[in-house]
Amino acid sequence: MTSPEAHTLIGAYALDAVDDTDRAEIEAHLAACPECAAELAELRAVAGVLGGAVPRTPPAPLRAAVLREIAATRQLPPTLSGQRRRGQRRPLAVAIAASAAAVIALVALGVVTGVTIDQRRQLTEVRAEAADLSAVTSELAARTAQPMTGGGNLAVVAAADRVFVDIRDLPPLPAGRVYQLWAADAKGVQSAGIVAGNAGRSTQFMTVRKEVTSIKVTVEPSGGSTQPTGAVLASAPLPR
Amino acid sequence: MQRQADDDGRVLRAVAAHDPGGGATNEGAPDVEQLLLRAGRGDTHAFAAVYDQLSARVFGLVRRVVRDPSQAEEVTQEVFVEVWRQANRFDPARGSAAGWVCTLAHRRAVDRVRSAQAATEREWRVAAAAPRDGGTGYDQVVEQVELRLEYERLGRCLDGLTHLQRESISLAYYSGYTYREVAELLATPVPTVKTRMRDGLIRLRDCLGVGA
Repeated sequence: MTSPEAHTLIGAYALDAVDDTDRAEIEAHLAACPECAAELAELRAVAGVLGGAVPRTPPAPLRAAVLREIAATRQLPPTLSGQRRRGQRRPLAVAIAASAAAVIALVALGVVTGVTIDQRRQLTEVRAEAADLSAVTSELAARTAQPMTGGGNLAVVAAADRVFVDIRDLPPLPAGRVYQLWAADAKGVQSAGIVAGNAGRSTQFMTVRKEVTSIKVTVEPSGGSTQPTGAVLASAPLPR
Repeated sequence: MQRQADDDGRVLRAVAAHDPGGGATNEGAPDVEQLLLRAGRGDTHAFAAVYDQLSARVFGLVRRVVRDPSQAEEVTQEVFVEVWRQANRFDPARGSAAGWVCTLAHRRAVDRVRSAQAATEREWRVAAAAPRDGGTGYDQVVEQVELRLEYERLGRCLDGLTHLQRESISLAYYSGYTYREVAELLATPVPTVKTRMRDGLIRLRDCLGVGA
């Protein structure tokens, strides 16, 4: 059957006024024609209005009979069309689209919006606290700051195994050189990381072993060294 | 046969005649879509609430199509068991819960009348007989019609159809005839009836402002 001919059946189909042969034909047509499926949905909605126009209260015992029967009736499993079958990967684009759709749905429900606003408020609060703590810590560190050979100041504040390192006024280094931190104990030194930025100010928190007694700074080749190769520019003792 | 057509036509005209001022809506009632979704996850209490909200529609429609009261009860029960089985297939993005249940109910009712009687004989037998149950004369049916704004609008919209559109739709939907049978009953060419069903529904859709 040609599509136009099948399409004229859409009204009869929406009214369940087709036989099985017609039904198969129009369903094939609908599968290949998204607009037709949309039209069918609309016509079915009209049929639904017709269907609701003649209500009549059923006999009361029917309710109990229905509830008894459904209590003993297993529901169909969810359809697999919208699901991943085992071992089948969704293409990335589909996954992204699905995620986006889920997000849109959640936004529509007000879920994401609510969470986001809440999270933003929390984030703002956390940032404000962090800024306060950073200011106080820097102030404390500044009191113990010691000048570094060649320029700059090293300040260290420690509380148990947490150490706040604040380096200021670092002179710029030539290309291929970095400032590197070292954690020293009685047995030697271990790298405590490369100073972010080769000039100006740098702060960082780090965790050190309880045996560590001081934080030292050297200049090393780019990428840092496993053991210091340059002279120690400054050494800040940790209160233990 | 003409009597059958008149009977359905009168119901629709009677629906049309309802006073719009008497409209009552379902405000405050639990959202049947949500209830149906919960039923789809095995919630029998939600399902009972779905039954309470939709059973009059289903039973009314099924009885309208099937006619026989005891068969209508059987079919209504089958419909709700089917609603329960398939509830997790319901997708609110694709239409209302009432529409979904109604589609299911109508199909079942139509299947029942078509299987219950030999297709070759049925239209003539039914057409020749007086309405089998006196209790579904149109006055009684009209009494039961809920005075909802939706149906008052439906009535006005039905008035906007041509006679052939209205009779074609009515015989197909409320009496469960195929479009070929409707063509026979109305002594009208089959292609004309097919077309009238579609353009009649489209006109109703536009008049009702019904979305999918």
